[in-house]
Amino acid sequence: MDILITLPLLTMLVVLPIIGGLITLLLPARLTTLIARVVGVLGLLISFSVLAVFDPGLGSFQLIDEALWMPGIQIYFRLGVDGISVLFLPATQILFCAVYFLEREDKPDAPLRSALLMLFHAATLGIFCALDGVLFFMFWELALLPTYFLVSRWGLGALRREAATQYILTMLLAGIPIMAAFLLLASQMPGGSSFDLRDWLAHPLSRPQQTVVFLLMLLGFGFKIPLFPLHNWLPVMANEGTAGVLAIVAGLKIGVFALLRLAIPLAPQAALDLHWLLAGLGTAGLLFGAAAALAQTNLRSMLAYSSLSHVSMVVLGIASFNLAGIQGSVFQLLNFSLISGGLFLMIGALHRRTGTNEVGQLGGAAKRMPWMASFVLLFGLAGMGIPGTSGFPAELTIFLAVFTKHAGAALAVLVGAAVAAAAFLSLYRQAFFGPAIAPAMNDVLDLDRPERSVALVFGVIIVFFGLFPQIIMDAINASTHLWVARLR
Amino acid sequence: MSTELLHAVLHTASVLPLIPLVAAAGIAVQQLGSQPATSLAEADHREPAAARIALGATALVLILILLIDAAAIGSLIFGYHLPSSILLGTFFSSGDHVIPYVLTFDSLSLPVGTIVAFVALITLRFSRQYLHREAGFQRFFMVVCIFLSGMLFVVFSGNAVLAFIGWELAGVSSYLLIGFAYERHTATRNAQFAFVTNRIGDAGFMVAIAISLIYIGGVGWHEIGQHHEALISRLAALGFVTAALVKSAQWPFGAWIGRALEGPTPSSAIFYGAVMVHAGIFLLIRLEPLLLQVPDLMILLIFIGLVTAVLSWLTALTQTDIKSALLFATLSQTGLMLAACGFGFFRLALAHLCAHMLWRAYQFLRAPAILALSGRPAPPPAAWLSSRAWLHTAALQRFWIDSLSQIAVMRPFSQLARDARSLEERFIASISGAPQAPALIPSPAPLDPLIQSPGTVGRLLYALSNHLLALESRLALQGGDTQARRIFLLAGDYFRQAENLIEHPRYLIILVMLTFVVIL
Repeated sequence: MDILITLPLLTMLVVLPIIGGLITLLLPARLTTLIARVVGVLGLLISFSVLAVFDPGLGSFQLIDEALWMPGIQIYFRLGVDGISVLFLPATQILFCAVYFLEREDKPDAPLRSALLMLFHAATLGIFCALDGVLFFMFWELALLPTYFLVSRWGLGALRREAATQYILTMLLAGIPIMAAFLLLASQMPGGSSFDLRDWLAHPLSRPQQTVVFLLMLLGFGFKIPLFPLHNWLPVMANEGTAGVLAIVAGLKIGVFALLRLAIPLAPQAALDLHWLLAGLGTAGLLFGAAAALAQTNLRSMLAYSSLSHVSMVVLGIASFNLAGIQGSVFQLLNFSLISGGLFLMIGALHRRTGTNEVGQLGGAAKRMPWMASFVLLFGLAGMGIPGTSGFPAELTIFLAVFTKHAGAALAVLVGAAVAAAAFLSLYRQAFFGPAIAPAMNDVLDLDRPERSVALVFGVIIVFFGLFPQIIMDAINASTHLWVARLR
Repeated sequence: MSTELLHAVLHTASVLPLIPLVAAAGIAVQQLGSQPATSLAEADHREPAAARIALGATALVLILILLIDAAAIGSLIFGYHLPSSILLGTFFSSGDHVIPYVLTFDSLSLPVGTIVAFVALITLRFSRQYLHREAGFQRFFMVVCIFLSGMLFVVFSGNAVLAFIGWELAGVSSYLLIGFAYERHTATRNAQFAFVTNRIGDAGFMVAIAISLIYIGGVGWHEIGQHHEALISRLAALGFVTAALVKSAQWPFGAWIGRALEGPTPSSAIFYGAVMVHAGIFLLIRLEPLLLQVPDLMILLIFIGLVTAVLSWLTALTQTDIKSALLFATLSQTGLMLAACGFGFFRLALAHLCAHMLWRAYQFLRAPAILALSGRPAPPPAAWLSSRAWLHTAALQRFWIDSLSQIAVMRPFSQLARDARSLEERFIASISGAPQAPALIPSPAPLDPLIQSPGTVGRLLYALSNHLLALESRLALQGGDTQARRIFLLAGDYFRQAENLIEHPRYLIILVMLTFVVIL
């Protein structure tokens, strides 16, 4: 334990996939899978050590690694975690580890693909623990690059290049307001410009400045979250991208995380004033996503729109600005990494076997693939917030928060949840139930050993935290209290 | 018997709702470890293990409940104190909202719990033979275990959230059993219909839980019952009653149960005959102190109960298959129980419920044997009924409950879904530059563009570069007149479309909801 505290754990965590990626490119292609798995498992161990030394009683940032990085322009390398971000590290690691274990193809370009995934991995971890505006922005943009190449080169759909172009253009454009907000914040710090997040938190801006910063960030992060009506890239990517990338993009909601970490704490007054905007966008997305999901004929598009609906519910929860809202939201975001991630991985496995995710061309998959059918149903039920899964306590907490602040929107939550449940069950029924007569169903095999292990691990975690949710609540308690106190 | 020992026993025993869940997990693990059976002998060899796990767990639950029963009776005779609720810890908490894991052992939960466990045990024992060599033998036992766990949560819960957990577990297992023969489209479609209808009813439960936690400050049954603020009590009661009416399939929410008989006979026995359909009534009996504060709601209960009883009785008379006839007879009995609750005779309703559970489970389980032994056609409906054609037709149509729910709920939502999709495809996708199928890409602009990319971003860049180019070469006015005209025409088109859309009834739903969102 003592040794662990002295180690720069967060830096190790972020740098490990980068080193892994470089090694992958240098060594022969047949070692690619092995390296990826080693990186995944090692990262998982490091993230568990982070949890071991993390003190949940402390609300502020801990495990801080700080170094002057580019002395000429005063850019620092600052990493740290608090109760809100720390649990995202193991969640990210588990999800990437699952992707490394499932995406194993021995094509000649496998090393490049694996290295890009690892770059994505490092950037995602960086976003969760960056404590510096410049560093955060760097990781934020760095995550785009591998996504673009992974989708445009290895995507599943015919329009993958166009989809990737749409994605990266949208996201680069969204970066401009974020950068503008950061520059405005940095310029207002006493004693010259500072990009230290802790400085930003300690010196609140004036009210009009806060409004500008909040709106800029809302626009910038709104694309990534995605907020209605900025969401169109998500279903497009869902149709064109690979299962692994989709699991990460849809599973790890870094957009909402940025909203929680930056936009609201840095402009608390503005956020409180504009709660109606956040709640309105959340309600619209919640209902629209659920209704649109019901009209889909493709499992991936359905998952994408359900994802929009779910993430809008989280935004609505955040917009209530009370303790239950933030706690439920963080819990629900953690859930998504396994639920959405797991669903996209399973549907990807289905695509690998049958070559399609159109429900019209499937049918009867449960007969041939009972295990896949069971796990997809389990994850789907967890997404609906059925008790016994971790979705329930999170959704109940969010619902309480919304009911306290916007009772009308809470009724919309209930309607949206019922429609989203109908959407999932309807497409699930068409794809998995019925007689197995579709040509795609000839000679398909059920989940193989690695897939079954990944699904089982996800399922066990989901059920475990459904039965013992207080463990998560205890870990995030102190930091979420501080988060709410900052708004007062 | 020393009190410490008694407490220790009670504490240990109060994990009993979790025992069937563990059994279900055990059956799942047993399945996961094995490959699909290749021969009949192998499958036969595997069946007893699953059945034994499920039966063992259920028997254990029954024994534990009987022990607690004995302790409770003993406390009456010998006068020692028996705690009526056991606190095992915190399920979860968020700030002021604390939800404890607490179970109640009182004169309401113990008799019902005993009967639930007993019915589950005999049903499982019956299924062991009845489902022999059926596809999904293990699955059936697993799902019934989940169901039993759910019902035990409902019965023994000390607060509304634990009851809701059980409520939903029962809902999920009901979904899985209605769709048990998942290769038949009707079965799975009905399963989905039942589940979604129940989810809509559960919204009432969620609202009631939220109101209790926020305004009453807790979800414990006694806290809810002892709150005396008219509006809060009324709203909470309304939420619980809605959920209970849907779960017990009372009029007019009963459409789902008519479609729910697709599962194997033992599951029909345990769900719709004996146990689950009584969950709503049980909840209302549990909420007696709350309901007594809202007299007008109790009058509504009498009305709904009597309507359900009469309509189901008439429907039952015209059914031609034994399961449907039994089902509607059951519904008419639950209607009477509901009316008894409405009149304030909660103990009478409880006695009726217990007796009816046992009797109906026996009838349902005996039904296949009767069919096999008698082989007679179903008796014709009574003469007085068949002589009144209108009533006979209405009863045969089950009073059009099913079509009503289709028109009122399903159709507007599926239309809304289609609208959402077309909104996405026609507007949002084109603004954000979603890639179109190649054939649909419009012919490229005559001018060779510097940048060509779809979507608003692409078009913005494209426009920017074009205008810069134009500025750079020479200031030039483009045909403003025609441009403006085109824009007006386009806007006119959109307005006309918007007007057409608003005329549809489903937009009323949106408007109503919007009003709620804004005013609350």
